[in-house]
Amino acid sequence: MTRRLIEGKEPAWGHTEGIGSGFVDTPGPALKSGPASRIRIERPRRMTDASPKAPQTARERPVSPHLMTGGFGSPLLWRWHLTMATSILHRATGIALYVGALIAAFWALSLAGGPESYAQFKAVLGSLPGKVVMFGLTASLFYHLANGVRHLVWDTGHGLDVKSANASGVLVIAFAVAATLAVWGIAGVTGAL
Amino acid sequence: MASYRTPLSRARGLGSAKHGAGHWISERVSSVALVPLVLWAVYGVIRLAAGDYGFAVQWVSDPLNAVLIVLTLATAFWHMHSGLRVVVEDYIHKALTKSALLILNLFVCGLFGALAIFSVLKVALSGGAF
Repeated sequence: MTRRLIEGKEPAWGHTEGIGSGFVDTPGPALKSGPASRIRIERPRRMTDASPKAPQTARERPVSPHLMTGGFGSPLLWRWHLTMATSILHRATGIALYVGALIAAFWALSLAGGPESYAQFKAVLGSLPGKVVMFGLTASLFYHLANGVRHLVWDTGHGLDVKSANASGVLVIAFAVAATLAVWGIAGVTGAL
Repeated sequence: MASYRTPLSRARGLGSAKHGAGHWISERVSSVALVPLVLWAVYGVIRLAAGDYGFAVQWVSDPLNAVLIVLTLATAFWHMHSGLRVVVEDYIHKALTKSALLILNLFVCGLFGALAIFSVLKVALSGGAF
């Protein structure tokens, strides 16, 4: 296999090297015959090199941020960047809104239960912890909404370059903050608090 | 552990199940529907928070409001089921835990979605009398 790599006959997408190679049909000891790093050094880097004669250096293949040591977004491997943060936030706010939808279901149930249960529900949400939760849900909602629209734009194939993705990320966060403050301002003025 | 299955028998049936796009599209379509519905719902919550039980019953009894609440609840519970399903499928790899969480997700969404919608319809159709 190493010989094939040196001769540069592996497919251009280069998925045959490294740990996963020979997973099915190579006996165990063969995998340990040489360090994986040596294979990588010898491998012509066809995907990134303009010329096959370019100097060859060892280079780790990229991995998902959470798949290596240090857990989610470990600074040891990946520095935090905006598109990563916005992606993780989309999931986190989605899960928060799951709880928010259950709160909405309890609103409907308490309303159907009559004046007493409705007053009880409103007292819980109107308490300080209730307001903190509702504020967090408002922010989550506007973030998830705006970032969802961002994803829909991406699905059309637009705005996927790094510059646009960073700019839309800033826009989404700014919208979430502004809309949350606006809604709570309006709620305060109209006597909803 | 030694396996006596041939590579072909292991690979068979692991290809496309021919319905992957359906889930993806339903997530997008429900998200498009939720954009206006959720903005309207935020307005509704501000109105309801300022009012009492009587106001809430009156508000829910309005046909337009009742229909929009039911549509918002149905779309939201559908969408959140799709979303959490992907989260479970991405992070949980033990077959039993994964299946249990997927079923729990479906049952929670189905149960609370149905309870919420039935409650709204009960209030809207009875005018709060019970």
